[in-house]
Amino acid sequence: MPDAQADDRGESRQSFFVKQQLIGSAKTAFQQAAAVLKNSLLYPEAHPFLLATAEKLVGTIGHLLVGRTEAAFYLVGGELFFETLSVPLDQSLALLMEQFAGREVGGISFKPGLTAKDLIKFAALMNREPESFRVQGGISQASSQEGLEHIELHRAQLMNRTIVSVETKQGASALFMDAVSMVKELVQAVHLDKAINARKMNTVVQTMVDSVLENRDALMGLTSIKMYDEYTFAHSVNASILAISLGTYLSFDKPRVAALGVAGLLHDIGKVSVPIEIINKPDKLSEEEWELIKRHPVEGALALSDIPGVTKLAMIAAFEHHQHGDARSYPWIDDRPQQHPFSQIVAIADAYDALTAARVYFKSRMPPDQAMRTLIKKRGVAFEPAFVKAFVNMIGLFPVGTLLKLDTGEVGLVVHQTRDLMRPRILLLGAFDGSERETGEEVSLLETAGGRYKRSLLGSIDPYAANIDLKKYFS
Amino acid sequence: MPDEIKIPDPLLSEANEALRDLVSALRSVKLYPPNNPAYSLSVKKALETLGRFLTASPDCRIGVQKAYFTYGNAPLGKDAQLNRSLAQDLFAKGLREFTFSRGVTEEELLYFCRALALSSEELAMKSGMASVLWEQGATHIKVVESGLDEVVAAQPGAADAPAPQRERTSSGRTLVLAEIAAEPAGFGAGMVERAKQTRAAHESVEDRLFHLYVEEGRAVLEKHADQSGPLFEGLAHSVLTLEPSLRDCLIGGKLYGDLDADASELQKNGPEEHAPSDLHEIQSGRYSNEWTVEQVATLLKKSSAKTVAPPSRNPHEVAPLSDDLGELAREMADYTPEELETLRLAAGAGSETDIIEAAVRTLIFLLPLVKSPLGAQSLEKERTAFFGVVHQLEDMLSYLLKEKDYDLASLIVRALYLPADPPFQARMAEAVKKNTSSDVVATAIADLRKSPKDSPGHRAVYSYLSAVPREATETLLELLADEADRTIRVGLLELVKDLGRNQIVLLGERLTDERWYFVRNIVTVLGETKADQALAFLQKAGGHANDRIRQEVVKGLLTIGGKKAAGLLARFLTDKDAGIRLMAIRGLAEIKGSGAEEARLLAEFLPKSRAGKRDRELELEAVRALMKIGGPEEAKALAAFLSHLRINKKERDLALEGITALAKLGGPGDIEGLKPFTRVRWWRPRELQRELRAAALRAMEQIKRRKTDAGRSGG
Repeated sequence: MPDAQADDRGESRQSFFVKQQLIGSAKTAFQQAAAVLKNSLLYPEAHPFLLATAEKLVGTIGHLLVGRTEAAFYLVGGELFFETLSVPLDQSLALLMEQFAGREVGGISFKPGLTAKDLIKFAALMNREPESFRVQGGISQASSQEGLEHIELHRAQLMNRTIVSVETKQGASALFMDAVSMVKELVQAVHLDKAINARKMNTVVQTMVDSVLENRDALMGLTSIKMYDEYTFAHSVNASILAISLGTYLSFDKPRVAALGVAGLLHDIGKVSVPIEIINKPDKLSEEEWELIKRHPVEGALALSDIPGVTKLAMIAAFEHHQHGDARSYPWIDDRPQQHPFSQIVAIADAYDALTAARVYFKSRMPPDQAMRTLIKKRGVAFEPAFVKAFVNMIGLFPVGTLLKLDTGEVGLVVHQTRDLMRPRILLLGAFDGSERETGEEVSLLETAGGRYKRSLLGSIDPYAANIDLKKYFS
Repeated sequence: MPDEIKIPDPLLSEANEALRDLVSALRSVKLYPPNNPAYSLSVKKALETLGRFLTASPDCRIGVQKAYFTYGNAPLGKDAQLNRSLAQDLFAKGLREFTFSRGVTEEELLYFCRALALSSEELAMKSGMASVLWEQGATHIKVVESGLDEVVAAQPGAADAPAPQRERTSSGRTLVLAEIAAEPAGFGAGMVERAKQTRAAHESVEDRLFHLYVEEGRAVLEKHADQSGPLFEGLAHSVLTLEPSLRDCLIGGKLYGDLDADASELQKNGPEEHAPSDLHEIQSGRYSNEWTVEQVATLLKKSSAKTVAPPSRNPHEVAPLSDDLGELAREMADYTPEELETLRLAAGAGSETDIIEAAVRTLIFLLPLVKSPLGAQSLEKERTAFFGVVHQLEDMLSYLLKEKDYDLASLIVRALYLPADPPFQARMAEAVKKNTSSDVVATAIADLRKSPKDSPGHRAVYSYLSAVPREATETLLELLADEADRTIRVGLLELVKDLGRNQIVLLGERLTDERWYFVRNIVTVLGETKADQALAFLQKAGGHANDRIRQEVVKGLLTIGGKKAAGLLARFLTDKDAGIRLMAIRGLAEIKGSGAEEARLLAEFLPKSRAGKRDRELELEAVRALMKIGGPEEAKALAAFLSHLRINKKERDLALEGITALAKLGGPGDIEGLKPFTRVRWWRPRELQRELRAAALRAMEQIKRRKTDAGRSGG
C-alpha cells in the first residue's frame, strides 16, 4: 500500500532533488497515459498518431524504470502516488482517476519490456464498460487474459483507515510529553550550571525522528495544540518537531535530521540566562532589558559550545537563529556569513510556531493561511525562499489541526497534507460546539465525482473560538 | 457534580416544592409588572412554602448547576424544562448557590426575585447579586457567586490585632485582609476549594481559579481602591502558596497569558508584523517559576483592571479564503531550478567539515561577544565563558592543523590575535602558542613548498603562516640555516623575507647567534624589511667580524635607504675590507639620502697625498661618487687630490674623471687647480696630455660659464 508517510523506507532514501525529478516524470507519464486512453477512443490501433502517443509514454516509463524492477502508480483517495511519492494532478485528469476507480483499479505497475502495443491494448481494455469485466472476474483477470504481462493492475483498497492510528497518536503524545519534560530538565540543568544529560536528549530526539519518519502527521498535529502554561517548554519541542519534519521532507539523512532536532530543541536555551526579574517582568521592558533578552543567542551558543555529546550544530543554530539578514537581526555582526542551512530551518520553525501560537493565544483571529502568508512574505528578507517553499509544501497552507468549512456545508479538521495545498485530507466532524463527535470519516478534498471535486474549501474556522478540543484528536 | 448520587433527605420533597414555587415567583417577577396581582401573589406563595420548609430546617440551601438545581447532593426537578432554563440563566449570571435562612421576609424575597430578573450586564454594573442584596439589607438570603463574596480591607501586618468584623453578608462567608495576610495558604486553599465546587462542566479548575481571583481583584479595585496595594499583595501571597502545579498554571498560564494577550493586541497595531515577534521571545523564555509577590500582584491587578470583553458574536464564524490564495498555492507548489539547487546543497550541509567550519566561525564571532555590554554578568562567569570558547578554538585549531585545513586554522589564529582584555589576551596567546610549535610550522612550511604556487592549497598554507609570522620566521631561519641545498635555501630565504618583514625585533634578538650564516640570513631579511627600525640592528651587525655579514649590512642599508642609512653606510668607508669599502663608496653615490656629510666623508676618503699605497679603483669610485653627491665644499679636496696625480697612462682615467667632477662641482677658485693640465710637457706622452688639456679647458670653460650665467645654461 503506498503511503506518503512511509518515509522510513522511501523518503530518506532518495535526495529531495531526485524525488522532485521523479515526481515530474511521473506526472508526465500520467498525462501521457491519459492521452493514450483518449486517443485509443478516437483512432484505430495501428494509427500512427496513437502509436506515437504510446511510444512517448513508453519512453517516459523507461526513464522511470531506470534502477527499478517496476514503475508502480497507486491511486488512493483521489490522490496519485508514484511509489510513495504523491504526484500533483490538476482537475483535468480527474476523469481519468475516476475511470480507474470505476474499474476498481487501485494501482498499475509497468514492467521492463513494455511496448507501445501493450499500452494500446491496455487503453482499449480501460475504455471498455466496467460491467464487461464482471464476466471475466475483474479487470486484473481481463488484463491477464489479454496477455498484458508487462502491465500489472492492482485492486483498489478501501481507504477506511485513518491516516494516524490511535496507537500512533498515543505514542506520539507520550513522546511529546517526554520531550517537554526533558526540556524542563535541560533548562534546570543549565540554570544550575549542571551537566546536560545529552544522552537522554539525543535518545528522545532520535525517537522523535523515528516517529516523524513513521508518521509525520502524528507529531505535527501535536504542535498545533498550544498549552499555554507549558508553552515555554513546548515551544522548544515544537520547533524541534517542525525542524525534524522539514529535514525528513527534504530527505536529509537520519543523523542530520537528528542534529536538526537537537538544534531546534536547544535554540532558545540561552533565555535561561536572562535575569528572572526581566523575563518575568509584568510590565513593558526598557531598551536595556531588551538588549539582555536579545543576548540569548550568544548565551545559548556559549552554553552549548562545550557540551560533550551535543552536536555543534545546536550551538550554531542557537547563535544564528535570529540572524535573518534583515535589520532586526541579532546579535548584529558586520559582514556576517550566510546563516547555516540548519539555522535557517530552525529559524523558520521558530517563526512558524510563534505565529501559530499568537494565533491561538491572543485571539487575534488570524486565519491559518494568514500565518503562512506572513511567513511567505518574509521570503528573501528574513528566510531563505527555498526553505519557506519547502516548509509550506510540507505543512500546507492549512496545517494539520485547522478547522475548515467546506462548500458542502460540512466542517472538517485537517489531518494530513496532500500534494495540493488547497486540498488537504480532513476528518469530518459531526458538530463543532464542544460536543463534537469524531465520525471517523476521513476524506480527501482531492476526491472527484464526474470530473469535479466533491468538496472544496470555503473558509476556516477558529477551532478555539468554536470550542474544539484539538487534544482529543491529536493526543 | 455527580448527578446520579442520591442522598436520602427527609426535606427533599419540601425543598422541591419550595423551589417550584420560587421558580414560579421568579418567572412572574420577570414577566409581569409590579402592579399585576400575579406578581405579588407568586412571591407570597413562594414565601409561604419556604416558611414551611424553614420550620423544619434553619436554612434552605439550593445549589445552581449549569442546567439544574441541587439540594445537598441531590438534583432538584432536573427534568423540568422551566427549571433547566432558569438554572442555565442563573449559572450564566455567575450564581452558584443561594441560601434562605429563618426570618426571611416577603420584602427580602421580592428583592431577591427582582435581582435575579436583572440582566447579566445590569448585575455586573451593580457588582453582582451579593452586592445588590447587601445594598438592600437582605440579610436572610445569601448567595454564592462565581467569586469570593467579599474582602474587607484591613491593615496588612495587623494579624494580631482584632480583624475588622462585619456582619455576614449575603454570602456564606466573609473574608478579611487579615486572613489573607495571616494565612495566605488557607486563603488560597479556600479559593481552590471554591473553584472546584463552582466550576462549570467543561471548565477546568485552573480556569475557574483564575476567574475567581480576577473577580476578587475587581472587587478590590471597585470597593477598596485606596488599599488595593496591600490587598493585591495579599492575594499574590495566597497564589504563591498554592500547590505547585496549580500555582504554575495560574501564574504562568493564566496571568501571564492575560498579560501577553494585551501586549499582542498592542503589537498587532504596530507598523509591521515580525516573526517571531518580540513578545514571543519573552513568552518562550519564561523558564523560571520563581515569581515574586510584587510580580504576581501586578499581574493580578492588570487582569482585574481589564474590562470584560464581550463574547464573540459567532464562534463558528468562517474566515473566507482570500482571492489570491489559489494563485499562491500554485506558486508555492513549484520549485525554481535555483530553489532546487539550494535544497540540494542544503542536504549536503551537516557534514563533519561543514559543522567544523560553521562552529569555528560561530566561536570566533562569540569571542568579542562574551563580555556582556551591560555588565549583567560577573567577571568570573565571563572569564569562564571566554576561556571555554578559547579552549574550543584551541582544540579545533589543533585538529585542523593535523588535518591540514590551513584555511580555517588561519582564521582561528587571526581571531586569537584580536585585541581583548589583558587576562583574556593572555589565554588567547597561550592557545596560539600551543598550536604553533616549530614542528607544526615546519610541517606547514613543507606543505607550502609542496603545493604549486597560486594554488588554493598554497594560498591556504601561506595564509596560515602569515597569521603566525613570528613563529614562521623563527622556524624558517632555522630551516634556512640547516638547509644544504642552495635552491631550497633560496626559496626559504624568499619566504622568510616575506613572512619576516614585520618581525624586526625578533630578528634583532637573534643577531647574537653564533652561526655566521644564521646571522647573515637575518641581516639579509632585516635589509629587506626596508624599515627604519631595522637600521639599529644593522648598525649592530655592521660591527660583526665576518666580512660577509658586513657586506649584507651594506646591502641592507642600500635597500633601506634614507639619510640615516646613508650615514651608517659612510662608516664603511673605513672598513678593513676593500670590497666593503668599494661597496660603501658606490652605495653612497646611489643611496637616497646622501648629503653633505656623506660627501665630506667621501672627500676625506680621497688621499691628501699619493705617497702611500694607492687603490685607483676605490679612488675612481670615490671621485664618481663625489661628482654625484658632492658640492663646492668638496671641490677643493678634489682639486687637491688632482694636483697630486701623476700624468701617466695609469692615472689617466682617474685624472679625466677628477677633471670632469671638478668641472661640475668647482667654482672660479678651482680653475687654478685645472691649469696644470693645460700645459703640455715635451717629455710626457703627447696624446695623453692633449686629452687631459682638452678636458681641463672644457672644465674651465664650464666653470666660467656657470659663473657668468649663474648656472642658467646648465653644467
